[in-house]
Amino acid sequence: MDRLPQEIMEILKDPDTIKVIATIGEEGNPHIVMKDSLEAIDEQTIAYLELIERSNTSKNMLRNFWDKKQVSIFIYNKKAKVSCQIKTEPYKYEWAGPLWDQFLTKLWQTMPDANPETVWVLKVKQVINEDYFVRREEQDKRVITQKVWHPLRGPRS
Amino acid sequence: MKKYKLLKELGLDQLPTDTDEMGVREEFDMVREKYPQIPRTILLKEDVLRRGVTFTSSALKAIQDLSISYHVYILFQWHKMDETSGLKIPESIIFRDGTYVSVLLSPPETDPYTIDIRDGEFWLFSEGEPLEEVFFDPAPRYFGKRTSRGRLMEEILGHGRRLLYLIPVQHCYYWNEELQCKYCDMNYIAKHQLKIGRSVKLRKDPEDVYEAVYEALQEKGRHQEMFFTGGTNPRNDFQNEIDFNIELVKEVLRAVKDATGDPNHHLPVFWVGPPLKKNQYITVKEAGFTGYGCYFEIWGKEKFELVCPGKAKYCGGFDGFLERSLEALEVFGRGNVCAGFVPGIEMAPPPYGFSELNEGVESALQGYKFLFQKGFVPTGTNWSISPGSYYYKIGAAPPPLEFFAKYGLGRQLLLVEYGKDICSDMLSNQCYATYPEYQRLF
Repeated sequence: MDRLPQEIMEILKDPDTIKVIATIGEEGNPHIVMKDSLEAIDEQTIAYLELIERSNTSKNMLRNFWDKKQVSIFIYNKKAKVSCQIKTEPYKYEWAGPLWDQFLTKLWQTMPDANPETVWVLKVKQVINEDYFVRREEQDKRVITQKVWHPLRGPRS
Repeated sequence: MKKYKLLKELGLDQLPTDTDEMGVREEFDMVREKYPQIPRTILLKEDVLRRGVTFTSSALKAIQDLSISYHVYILFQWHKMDETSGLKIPESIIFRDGTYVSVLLSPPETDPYTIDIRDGEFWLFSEGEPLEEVFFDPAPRYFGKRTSRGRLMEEILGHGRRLLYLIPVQHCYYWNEELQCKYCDMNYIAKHQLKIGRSVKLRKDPEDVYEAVYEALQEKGRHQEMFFTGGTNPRNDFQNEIDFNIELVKEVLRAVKDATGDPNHHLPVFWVGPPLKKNQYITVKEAGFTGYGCYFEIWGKEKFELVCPGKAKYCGGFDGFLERSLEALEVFGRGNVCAGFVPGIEMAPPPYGFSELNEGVESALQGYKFLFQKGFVPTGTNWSISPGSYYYKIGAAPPPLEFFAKYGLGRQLLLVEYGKDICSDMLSNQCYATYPEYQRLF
C-alpha cells in the first residue's frame, strides 16, 4: 500500500488543482466527476463530500465498496506540474462526527444552501505519477526495446 | 404447489428452504447464496433486526465512556436488561458502509448477534466469527441538557440520523379497550418504565418541545426532518389528538424560526397518525405538517381486522382505513404520504398470519404494489417480538431470514417499477427496516 507524498497532500489543498473521481457503474462502465472537496486526511486517507443524495457517484461508491473495487482519483495542477492518479478503496461512509462537521463547515462557506449526503472516506492503495516523462521512463524500463523502436522526439523538459 | 403471481413476476417464487435443522450462520449463508442480488450488509441488517443483539460485558463497559446516542424510550425490545441495569444502550449500530441498524437487545433464545470490543474496535459477531466493524451514532449536542422545567431534552425529543422524532403521547387508547395492535408493547413498556423509576413524560409539554427543538437545531446540519408518532386517541373522531399535535407542531415551527433566524427555513415535519377525514388532513397540513403516515401494519381486510382491532373499530374497518389513507394522498400529494407495514407479522401464528412463507410475502407485496401505484412511499418497522405484546404472550417466533430477504427485495423491485419518481425521503433513515438501505441505490 502506497502513502501519499507530502507534495501531493499539499497539492490537494491548492484551489487551482483539478480533482476528479472515477467509479464503476452498475453495468461495469466508468463514471467520472469533479470533486473539489477531495482532501487528504493523512498519508493513507482521502475524503470528499458527496453533495447529492443518491447521486450516481454515491450509488457507485456503495457498490464499489461492496464489490471491493477500487475507485480512481486523478489530480492535475498545471502550475505545479503535477499529474497524479491515486487508486483508493472506499472505506467508510461518515454522516456524523468531527470529519462530517469539518467538511460541512467548509462547504457552507461557499454553498450555504447545500444539503450534502455524506463524507466518503477512502484508503490509498497506490499513487501513480502520471507525468508523461516519468511514465515514459517507466515504460522504457519495463520493455527493453521501447527506446529502440519508439525513440523520443524533441527535447526533455 | 400454490402459484403466487406477483412473486413469480418478480422472480422470487422459489420454494422456501427448510431451515429447521440449520444453525443461524448456515441459514445466513444459504440465503446469501440463494439471493445474491441482495447486498450483503442489507441482508445482515435484516438478520440483525430478526435475531437481535447482545453485548459482551467489556463492550458494554467501554460504551459507557462514549458520548453516543442511546435508547431513551425503551420500545420494541426483546429483553428487559436495559430497563433494569441502568446502563446506556446504544440506539443503533452503523456499519462502515453507512448501513444503520437499530439495537434490539435480545435474550439467548433468539440466538442474537454479539457486539464485542477487540483492540479498541467494536465488532459484530455471529457464532464467534467477526462480521462487521460497527460504530455508534455520536450523541447530538442537545443530549444531557435540560429544559426550563428540568426535563432532560432527550426524554422529550428523540434522535436518529438527520431526524428528530417526537412521541406526543406515549399511551395508546386502544389498550384501554384491549384493542391494541397485536405486535405492540407501547403501554406495557411505558408502565414498566414508570414502575422502575425511569423518567418518562407520557404527555409532552409544548414548552418543553419548543426548548428541545430550539436546542437541537443549534447543531447546524445535524437534523433535517422531524417525525411525530405515538399512541392513538380516537375520541371525538381523533380531533383531540389532532388538536394536541397541531399545538405541538406550532411550537416546533416557532423553534425552527427562532433557532435559524430565518422565517422561511423549511424543516419538513410529518406525522404518522390515525387515518383522518379530508378536512382534518387539510387542517393538519395548514398547521405545518409536510407529510403524513398511514400505518396499515398488515395488508388485507381479514388480517388487518384481526391484528389491529382498535384501528378497525375506529377507522371503519380496513376499507375505511384505506379510503381515508387515499384522502391523505389527495391532500399531501404523491410521495408525501407513507404507508407503513410491520414486515414479519405475516408469519405470526394463524389466524393472525399466514401458514406459508410465500403466501405471507405475496400478500404484503400485493399491498405494496397497490400503494406504490397510488403514490404512497414505504416505511415500516421490522417485527420484533417484544415482551408486553400479544404475540409474545402466545409464543410467536421470528420468521426465517428468507422471508425478509424476499420481502425487502420484492418491495424495492416494486418501488422501482411503480414508484418511478418517488422515494421514502421522509423517515429515509429508519434503523428498524431495510427499505432505506435499498433506496440508497434508487
